[in-house]
Amino acid sequence: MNQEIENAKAQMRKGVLELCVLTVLSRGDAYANDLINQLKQAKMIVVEGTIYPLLTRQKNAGLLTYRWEESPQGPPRKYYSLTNEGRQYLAELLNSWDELVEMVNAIRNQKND
Amino acid sequence: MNTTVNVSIGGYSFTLEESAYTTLQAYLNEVKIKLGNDKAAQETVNDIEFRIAELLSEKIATGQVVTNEIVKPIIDQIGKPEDIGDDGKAVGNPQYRAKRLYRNPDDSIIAGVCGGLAAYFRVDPLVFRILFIALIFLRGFGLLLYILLWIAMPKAKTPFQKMEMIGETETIEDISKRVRKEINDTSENLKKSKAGNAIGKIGSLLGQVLLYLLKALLVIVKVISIIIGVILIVSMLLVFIALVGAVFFASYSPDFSGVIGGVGMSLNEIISSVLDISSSYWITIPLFLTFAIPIVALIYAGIRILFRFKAKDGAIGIIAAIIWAAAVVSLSLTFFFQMRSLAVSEKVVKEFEVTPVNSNSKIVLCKTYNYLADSSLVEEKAQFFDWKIVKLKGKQQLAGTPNLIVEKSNETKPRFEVIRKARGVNNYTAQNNANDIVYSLTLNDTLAILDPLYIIPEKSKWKNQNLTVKLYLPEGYGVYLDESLTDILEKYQPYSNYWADEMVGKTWVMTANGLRIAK
Repeated sequence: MNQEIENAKAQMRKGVLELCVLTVLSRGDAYANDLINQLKQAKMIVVEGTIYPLLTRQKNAGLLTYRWEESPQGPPRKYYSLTNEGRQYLAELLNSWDELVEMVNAIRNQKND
Repeated sequence: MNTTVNVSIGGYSFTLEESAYTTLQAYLNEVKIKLGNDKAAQETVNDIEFRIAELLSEKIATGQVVTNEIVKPIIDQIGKPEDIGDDGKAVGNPQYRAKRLYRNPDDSIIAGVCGGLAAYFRVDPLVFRILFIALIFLRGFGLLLYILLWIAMPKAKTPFQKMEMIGETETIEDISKRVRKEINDTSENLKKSKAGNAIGKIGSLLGQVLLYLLKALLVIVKVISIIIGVILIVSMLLVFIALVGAVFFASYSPDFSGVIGGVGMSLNEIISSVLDISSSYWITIPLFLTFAIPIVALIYAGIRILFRFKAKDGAIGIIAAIIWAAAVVSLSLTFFFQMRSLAVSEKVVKEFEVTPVNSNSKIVLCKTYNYLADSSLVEEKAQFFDWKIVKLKGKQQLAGTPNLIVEKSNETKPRFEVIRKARGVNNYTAQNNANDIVYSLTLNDTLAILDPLYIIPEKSKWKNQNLTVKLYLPEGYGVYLDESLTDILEKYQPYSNYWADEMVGKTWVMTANGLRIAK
C-alpha cells in the first residue's frame, strides 16, 4: 500500500516537473545547482539525477539554451535560460495546469444530489 | 593505505581510493545503461559527471583522497540509476540486446577467447578449448587463430558489455546486484593483498613485469597484424583488378607463366572461341567467383585487422561460402563435360608421294610461307601452348602450328605423311574432328610447300587437335629445309644431331647414320 502511494506521488511529481523547471527558469537564468536547490526546497524532487535528462530533452526541444560560465571553485557551470519558444510553451503549460486544478477541484467539490 | 587511482571527472582530476573508484565507475556505467547510447544520453551523462565533480570539489580539500564514504552520499544525492530517467522515458534509445563477441573475463584460462566464443554460441567453453588445442597440432594454426582472436575480440569489461556478450536481457536490478557483489569482491581482494608478506610482494612485482612483457608482446603482435592487414588489402586488390581484367575485359593481362601470353583478348573471348560450350559465362563466372570470393574475403580480413569494427558478417560469410561452393561445383561439372567431349583420340593419315619429274634430282625442297603476308589472314590475337587465335577472312579462328619431322625410310621414294589427330566423345566424332582440320601440303615436282598453320573449323572447336607432317626420306635422298620452316620444324629430330634452328637454310642427306649435312 505504502509503495503504491509513493509511486503515485512520484508519478504526479514527475508530471509537473517539466512545468516547475520552466517556471524557475522564467524567473531568471540558473545553473543545475540553483534549479536543484529551489526544486528540493519545494520538495518537488528527491534526487538530483531526475533533472539532467529533463534539461537535455528540453534543450534539444528548443525550449532552453545554455552557456558555460566559470565557477569560483570546481568545474565550469552550465547556465540555462528560456528561449522565446520556451516561454510560449510555459504559458500554455501554466494554462492547462490551472484548468487541471479547476477540474480536480470541481470534481472534489461535487455534491451528491 | 589503500591503492589510489587518479581520474579525471568532468575535466577535473581527483585522487580516488580504489574502492571509491570502483563504486563510481559502476554507478556511471549503470547510469549509461539506463539512459542509452545516443548523443542526448551522452550529454546527460556528461552533465551528471560535471555535477559529481562539483559535489566532490565542495566536499574535499585540494589533494585529499576521495574515499568510498565521500562517494556514497553523492551517489545517493544524485539518485539511483532507475530514478534518473525522465518520466520513464529514456533520453536516448536504450541500446542493447545485440549480441556481440567479447572475450569473457569471468570464464577465462588465457584471455577468455574460448569463454567469449562459448557465451556467443551458447555452448560449453570446453568445446572451443578442445577445438583450439586440436588446431594447435595442425602446424600451430590454433595458436595463431587464438592470438588473432585475442587481438580482434574486445574484452567485456562493463556490465553492459557482459550483457551484450551473453545477449540476454538483464534487468537493472540484476546488474546492480552483480556490481555490488563485484565491489565487495574487490575490496576483499584488496584486504587480502594487504595481509601479504614480502614474498607475496616480490611475487606481485614479478607478475607486474610479466604483465608488461605480455603487453609489449601484444603491441608487437598488433603492429605485425597491421602490416599484414595492409599487405593483404593492397596485394589482394591488385590481384582482384587483374582477375577482373583477365577474365572479362580485353586486357593487357599479366603473363602467367606464358600460358596466356596474348594481349587484347579476355579469357571470356578466348573460351568462347576455343571451347564447345553454349556460353563462355558458364566457365568464366564460376571461375571468377572461385578466385574472387577468397580474394574479397582476404581483403575483408585485412580491413578487419586494420579497423576493428563490429559487423554482422556471419550471414554474409555463409552466403559467400555457399556461392563459392556452387561455383566450384559448376566449374567441376563443366570441366567434367568438357573432359567427356575429349574422351577418345583418333588420327587420320594422308600420304603424298614425291615423284620427281626431273628424275636425277634427289633433293626435296621444303618450304613454307609467312602467313601474315596472306591478306586474308590477320595477326594472331592470343596464344596458348601450341594453339593461337587468328583472324581469318574477318572471322576469329583457332589455329595451331604443325610439326615437321624428317624420318628415315626403307622405301625407294620420298614420301610425305600428314597426320591429323583430334579427340572427341567417341571414335566417330574424334575421327571427324581430325578430318576437319584444314591444312594443305602442295607438291610440285620436288618442291613441297607446307601451310604454316592448320586451321580448326569453328564447328569442332578445340579438341586437342594436333598435326604432324612427316617426311620419309630413303637413304641417299636429301632435303633442303628452307629458313621459313624455323617455326614448324620439330625441335627434336630423331635422325639428326642438330637442333631445328641449326638445321634450317641447309641441305641434309639421309645416310646410314642419319641426316648429314650435304657437301
